[in-house]
Amino acid sequence: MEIASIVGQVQSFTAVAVGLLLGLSSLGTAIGFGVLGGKFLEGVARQPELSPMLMVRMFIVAGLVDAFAVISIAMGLFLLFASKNPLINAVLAVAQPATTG
Amino acid sequence: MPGLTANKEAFRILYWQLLLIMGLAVVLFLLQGTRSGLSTLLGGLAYWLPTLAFVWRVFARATARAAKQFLVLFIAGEMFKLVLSAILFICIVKYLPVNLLSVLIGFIGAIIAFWIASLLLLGRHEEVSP
Repeated sequence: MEIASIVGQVQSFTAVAVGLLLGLSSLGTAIGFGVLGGKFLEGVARQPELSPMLMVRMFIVAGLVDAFAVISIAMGLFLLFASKNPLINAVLAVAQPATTG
Repeated sequence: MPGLTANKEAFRILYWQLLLIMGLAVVLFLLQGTRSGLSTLLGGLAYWLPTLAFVWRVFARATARAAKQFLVLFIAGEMFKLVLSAILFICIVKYLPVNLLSVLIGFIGAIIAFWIASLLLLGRHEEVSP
């Protein structure tokens, strides 16, 4: 019974963690892309002949902006959908000797 | 055609990124075996393939005049890339017999490879243009 309660706690905290991972990464990416897109349009309006160079620079900076978002989204969805949640596995691995012994 | 240059540069970054991912996979293959090497390669491809789709879709239509249209395509493509790479990552971890740590190393390595490739390209540009 106690193990079930601990597993339940881990699951609920995992859900909170997934929410934070997805939410904060989305927020950060949205702010980053907003600033990036605004500056890109500003730059193209000022000097249209630099547009191809600005496109490549924007692609590079976008790669930097979304890097951490990709990692946290992947980790969040992994915790949510993976068949073997590593956190619950750790709890069960600790509980196994106690129940058998 | 101005869009062609941007297209070429973006594909060059992707080419270098793929080379770095394969190098990382070979290193893990030599250090930890076949399964680890394949897992690293799959993790890297989970980020590289959506990026390829993004570049192929966005930069193919890039022209100097349609900056606003480019921006809209860019942001939509970026969201598509984020979701697709997360889905690929989960599918690999869930349905294939892989080593989780190696997949993560490959995935994060692919992102770092993108930074390295970009910085190398930017550095070369700075050297060429005064």
